[in-house]
Amino acid sequence: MKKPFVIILLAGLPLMAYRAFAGLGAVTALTDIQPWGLVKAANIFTGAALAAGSFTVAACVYVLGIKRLKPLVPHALLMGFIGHGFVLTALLYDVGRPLDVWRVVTNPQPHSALLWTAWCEAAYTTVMAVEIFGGARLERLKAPLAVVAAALAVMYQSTLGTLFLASPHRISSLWYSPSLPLQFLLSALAAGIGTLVIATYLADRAGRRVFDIGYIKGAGWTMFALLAGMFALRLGGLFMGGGLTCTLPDCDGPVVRWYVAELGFGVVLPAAMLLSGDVRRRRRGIAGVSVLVIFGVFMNRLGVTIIGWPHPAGVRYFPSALEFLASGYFILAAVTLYWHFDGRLAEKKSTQVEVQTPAVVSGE
Amino acid sequence: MDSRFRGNDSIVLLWRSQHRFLFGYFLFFQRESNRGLESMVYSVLIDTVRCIGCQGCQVACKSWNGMPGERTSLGATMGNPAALDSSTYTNIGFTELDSPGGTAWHFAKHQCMHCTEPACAAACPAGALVKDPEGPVVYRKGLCIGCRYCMLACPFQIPKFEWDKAFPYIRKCTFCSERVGAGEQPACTRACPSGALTFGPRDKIVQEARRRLAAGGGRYTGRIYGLDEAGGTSWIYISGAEFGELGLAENVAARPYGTYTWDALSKTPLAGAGAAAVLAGLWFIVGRRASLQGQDGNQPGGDKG
Repeated sequence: MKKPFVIILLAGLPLMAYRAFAGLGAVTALTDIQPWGLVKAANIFTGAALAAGSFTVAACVYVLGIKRLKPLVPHALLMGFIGHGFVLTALLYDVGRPLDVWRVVTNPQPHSALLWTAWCEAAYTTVMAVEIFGGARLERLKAPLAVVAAALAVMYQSTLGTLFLASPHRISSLWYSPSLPLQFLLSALAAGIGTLVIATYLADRAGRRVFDIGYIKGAGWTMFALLAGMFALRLGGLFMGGGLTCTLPDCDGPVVRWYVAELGFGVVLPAAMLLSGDVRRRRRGIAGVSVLVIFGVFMNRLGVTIIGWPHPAGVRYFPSALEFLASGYFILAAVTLYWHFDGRLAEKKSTQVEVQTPAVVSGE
Repeated sequence: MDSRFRGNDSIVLLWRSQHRFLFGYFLFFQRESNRGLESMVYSVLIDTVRCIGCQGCQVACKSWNGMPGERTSLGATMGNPAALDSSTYTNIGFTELDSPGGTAWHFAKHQCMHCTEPACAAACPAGALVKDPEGPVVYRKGLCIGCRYCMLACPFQIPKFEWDKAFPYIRKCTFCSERVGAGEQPACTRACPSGALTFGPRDKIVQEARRRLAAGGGRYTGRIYGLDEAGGTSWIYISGAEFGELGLAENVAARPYGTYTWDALSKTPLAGAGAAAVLAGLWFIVGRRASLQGQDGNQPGGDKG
């Protein structure tokens, strides 16, 4: 591993140690009024959505037989594995008693949405590890594994939305809606595809693999359909949930502005851009749309977790410097690890091609 | 469900047969006698009209639970400490309200409502919060993972977190479950000198609340807070002012809050199974098409879907 990569990965350890000994109050601005903050919104809820591309690609290739995506599978699985690994890492950082988390296995309480997310996440990461490390022996099992992974991912992503159904009294009616589980699922699918598009685009720029235009064929319309579904659910939630009359005292200017910006730049604008064939077919176009979609999902998760919460004392939660540091570190570490192992995958593939080429030539 | 003494029961029986004189046995005997009455769900009536704002309940609570005092300051109202936190399970809110007879002070005690079907217990992934059949919502701290989901779920915003500790716990009013289990009443109701807090079986307590409302002659608003809120609570209020003005949570729905998530959760396995069934079906169709095309000598399945 390159030296800067190692330095980046080790840089967060002092912070982890400080959090372990000083407690959450020392490293966050969280209070009893705002018990979940930036690490939850950015690293867990957004992170889980961004890592959703892996099962989509695996299902496309092994279940739907879309073979042109096959070269992407190892990269997508790697991304999903590292992404979900860092969701779990952030969860351990954010949970108050990380040494006791095994209690959710020995003493599960099945009515808890949080329990379901934890179990689905653990099972899903396990299936992905099997797919990654199982190698060629599992060739026959690829399709069933992809089906299982897809089912787990659907349950996982939607249950992340279900979590927030517990707080009708706290979350602004702009965001709160019984369709939150479906909203989380659709936006995670869109953001997952978007993350893969960007990763492929960057790998292409770095000369690791040529951006095959076949990779994004269909991605544009798929994202458009997901965004359109998302928009319909949001409008439905707004009308049915009374978001227009907005009874909570916290539907004030900044909250409404955040909501409009999130919906406008994260859902409507990318969907409108995708209507243009130029955007759908060109790699820069679709990468640009992907950036917007990811940004929109991040804003959405921040909205549900932080922005849309009432603050009776009039004091708004704003993350502390160490929260930004921790959140940034987890993202940077995940990207670093992905970039490193993605490079290794690319090297492996190019050496395989070199070995195979003479055989093909002699065969002819 | 008797979480507090589960696992000790066999030891208790052993004790009972041989050491009837022991004080420990006395406690358990009290508990056994309570258990005999099936419908014995305990409740507390808070009558803010009778409250004189002496804060004796706060002192009794701190003292019984061994909680440290905290540095406070005199605010606009005389509530002190101003809010509940991880070392204050109960406090009195002081509210000045204009009424036809002049300005009046209203005192309202705040603490965990001990819901009949608690949202916190439904939210907890490890079963650290459970409803005791006798009424208290009990926190089994050994099971807590510190996820703070109970804090999001509680419609009364009661669970508090020990932010300053490296190994923190959730803190909230315990309904003195160890006292109630031993046939004693909670420390706060015991300390109340003015009859503002009445402890007893829930049906009797509700009856008493209705009796006071009927006999009150305009001193009460006529509503009982906690009868329907969040599906019913063990602690109920009657007062001479609107409950929202006294700092109690307003617009609490009349259904247990755990049902909001359960409505979706109970359908989630179906969604997962449905997704798996659809994908498996597509897999079968795609594979079939590919093999048929292969027989026809066409190119095997390429870009479809």
